Amino acid sequence: MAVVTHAAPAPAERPTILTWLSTTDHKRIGLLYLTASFLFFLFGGLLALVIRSELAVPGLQLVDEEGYNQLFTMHGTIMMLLFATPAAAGLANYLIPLQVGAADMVFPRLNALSFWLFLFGGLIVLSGYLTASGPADVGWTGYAPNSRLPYSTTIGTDLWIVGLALTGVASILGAINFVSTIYTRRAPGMSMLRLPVFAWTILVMSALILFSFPALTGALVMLLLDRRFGAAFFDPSQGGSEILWQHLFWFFGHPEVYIVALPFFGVISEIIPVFSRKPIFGYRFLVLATILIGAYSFTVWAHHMFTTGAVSGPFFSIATFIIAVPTGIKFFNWIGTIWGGRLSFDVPMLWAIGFLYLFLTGGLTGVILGSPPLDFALHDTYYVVAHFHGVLVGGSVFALFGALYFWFPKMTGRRLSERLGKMHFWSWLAGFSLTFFVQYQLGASGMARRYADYPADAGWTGMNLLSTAGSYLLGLGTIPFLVAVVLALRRPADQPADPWEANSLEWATSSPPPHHNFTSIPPIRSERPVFDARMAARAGPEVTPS
Amino acid sequence: MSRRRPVQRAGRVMAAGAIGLLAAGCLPAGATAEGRDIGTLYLGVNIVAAAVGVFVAVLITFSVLRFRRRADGDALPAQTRGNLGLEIVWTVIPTVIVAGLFVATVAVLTRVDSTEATPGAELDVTAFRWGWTFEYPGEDVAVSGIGVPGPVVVVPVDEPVRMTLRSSDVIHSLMIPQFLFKRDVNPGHVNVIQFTVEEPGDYGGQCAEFCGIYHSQMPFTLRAVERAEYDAWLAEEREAVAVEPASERP
Amino acid sequence: MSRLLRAVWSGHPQETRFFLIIAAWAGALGLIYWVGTAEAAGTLLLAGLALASGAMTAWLVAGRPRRRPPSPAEVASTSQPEKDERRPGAPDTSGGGTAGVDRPFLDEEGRIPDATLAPFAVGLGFALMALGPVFGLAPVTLGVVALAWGAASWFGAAREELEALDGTDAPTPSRVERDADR
Repeated sequence: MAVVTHAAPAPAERPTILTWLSTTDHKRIGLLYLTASFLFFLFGGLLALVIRSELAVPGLQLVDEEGYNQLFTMHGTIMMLLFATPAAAGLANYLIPLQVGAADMVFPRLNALSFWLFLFGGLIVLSGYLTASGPADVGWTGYAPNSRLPYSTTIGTDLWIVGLALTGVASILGAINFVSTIYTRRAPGMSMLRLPVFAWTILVMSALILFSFPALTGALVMLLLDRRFGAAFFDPSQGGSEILWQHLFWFFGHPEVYIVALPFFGVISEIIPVFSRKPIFGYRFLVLATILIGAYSFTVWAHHMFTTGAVSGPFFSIATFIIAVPTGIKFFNWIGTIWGGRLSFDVPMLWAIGFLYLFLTGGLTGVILGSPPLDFALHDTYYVVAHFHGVLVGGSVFALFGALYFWFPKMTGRRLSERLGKMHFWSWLAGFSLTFFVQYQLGASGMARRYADYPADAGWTGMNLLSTAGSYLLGLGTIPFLVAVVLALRRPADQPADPWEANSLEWATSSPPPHHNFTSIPPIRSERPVFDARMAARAGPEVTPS
Repeated sequence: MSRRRPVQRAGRVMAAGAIGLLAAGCLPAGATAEGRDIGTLYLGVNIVAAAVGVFVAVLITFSVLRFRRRADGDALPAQTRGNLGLEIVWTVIPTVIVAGLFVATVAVLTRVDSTEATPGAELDVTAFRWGWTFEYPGEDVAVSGIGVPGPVVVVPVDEPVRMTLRSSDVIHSLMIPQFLFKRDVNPGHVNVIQFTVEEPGDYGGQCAEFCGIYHSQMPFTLRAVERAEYDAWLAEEREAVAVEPASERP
Repeated sequence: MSRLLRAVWSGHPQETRFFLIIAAWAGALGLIYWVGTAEAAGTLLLAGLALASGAMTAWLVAGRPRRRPPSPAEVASTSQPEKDERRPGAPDTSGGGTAGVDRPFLDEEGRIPDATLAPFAVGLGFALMALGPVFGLAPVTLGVVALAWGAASWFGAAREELEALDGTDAPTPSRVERDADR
């Protein structure tokens, strides 16, 4: 049997561009995902600022109608598919092998391929900006027949289709890696019910990706065939169905919102116990709730289609109400974790607490929208916009920032400035509230979404101005974070393995971890092996962990 | 100098937010029988949602303030892992609440979607990029308009009005905010809606499904008048040419 | 009956169970949906999910190799450490593994691959080829070149690793040497 040896990488080597292009290390790939998705986030955020600037007062001041349609299409596409989904994948990439005690993913090269497909796909979507007719303008939901010829003719939409097909494949390949790694690479002693809650959320997220993304990919291929190859899948005048696109899109689209929610629920489940100094309350129920949310996410898709008149209101209404219950279970378990704890308000915990308030309102308004008669009044208005920004920004983005502050020391060996972090958090909490709470009223009083302009006599100008002011605060509030990152990376790496006194296995190795992750792993007797080891060490060497 | 200050500030911010939330999201009073039904359901659902929201927000605020780490440092709190009784309670109660929501929802939905009553006026509505045509098939009358301000469609008040919705191109959606109502206008799947306006007046309508460049520029006005006035208007329209001249986009 | 079900269930690795559960769930949903709404598109989507998962299950069951000793990966992933730990006199198999630091991961059958440009090339290749429907043959030809190079490099490396691993489930000496260096 041939013995194959490999030169160990010199520890002090600085990574070059070639290092990054050729890496198969899940930690580097995770950082690539996080960086790329954050850059997409900044660009998508700029688009949002232009949208809000346009809507501040009536009249078209900055863009024309076509330009506005491109704005909200690209903003939505970038935020959902080029930011939120890959950011979750980036966190998962970095953390899953560490949290289960493995040296890497099961398929490291496939992992790298996932990242490159995502990056190239995203760049192809954005390349619409380089064309004469501009980027896609069909809404991130791309409803047919509007997205077919002869109604939407620009090449920007074709590039959007192709780019998203690539990013979809990237997500599917990533999901394969996550599921395989979680199932087969757990360190001895780590049963499934000792996995960190974050790992469970990634497992369910991956199952959702595996079973929902093909619907999107299929729909995109069908749309491309309709547009460029004479097919008629979505043309009723030729025997196709315009409703079919919506079924396909939302069969993907609703699991997609749980794909970008569940990992961030998992982040909250990691942060709150650490800063409450207690174990997560109701671990098994959290796991069960995660599985139920994932399973039920395939039963609710047509609550986005109540106004089509083509779907069963009662079926999808009861399904939407049912899925609220496990989400509530998670909420109460988070509060149960805080209850009786000893809280410290480090920046990650601030984001987690902000999440609790904001996701609460976003979630409740989602239940309201799940009632078809109410949806008849509120669908396609700013009420829906306020709802989904509540859960996606107040929920997922707040949790993501919490995650970044929490795991930044592990990833880089440096801690982000607490002062700048607090500036970031408070301006985002205020900015978010100002931007989006008025939008509930705007929507309820009839302001439609995807409108480039609104009448001056509708009485909406004041609220729109407030909302725009809030969005500027969000934009400004991002600056402390960027400054904090730059400053931190300039400092020497000085963080210990476990700066927060945390619970899961990634805190059992150095910050940042070595190439192969672990030189030794503490005994695994619960979902908090690092906590158990710390307690055992304090109790003294003669006491064995129970 | 302790951590008390920022946390108390947090409490006040949260309270303000909660109050702001309660005030937000007021629907106009529905001007149709169905709209009133929807408005009542909305009020009821919001009361329940607000109650749940305030309850949970107070729980969060209380626990965040009450269980702050004090100066006594590092002692671990009781490492409670869970409580089966609580899990049951906070599973069963939300289930009961949403079951109640569902029952109320289905009742209202059935009434809103019903097309059983004999209509006092029947219209064929065609949406297109970017305007509307309203035809009165039994009456040989049609009104049509492109862009702003769009056509004025006249219907009798206090009688069921039935509209059959078809698009000649992409998916649009007929929305009348003061009716608390919208329904998609599809090129394939035809929708039939029926409503009874209770107050005479002019009600603004708009397109509520993204349909291309001028999606925001295809409004219309629905004018509800007494039956006598409606009949007179129909007679006038029949005498004039069938289709109203298209109004210009500004 | 329940003993039969248990025998059927426990005889299969986790992959099979995973796909079986999905197939059952989607199948039940599809049935309920059809009965409740008689709507074709949604029913087809759910039934399609059930069929695809069911086909995967059947393929895994049919293609299962005859009974062989479970790999360390299967042992680690299906063991119940809580039960094992409670048995008196049970060795502490968690954390460091039975051979301590030298063999830290009982379930490591493979090794961490070297850094390679192959994934980048394959990704670039697919991306360029995907532009074909939009721009024509030019990007497709470029893409094919990148894809071919990347795939060749990838498969070559994989074949080497497979040959190196043949007949052993121990970690390769390279990784142990690397660990000892630190």
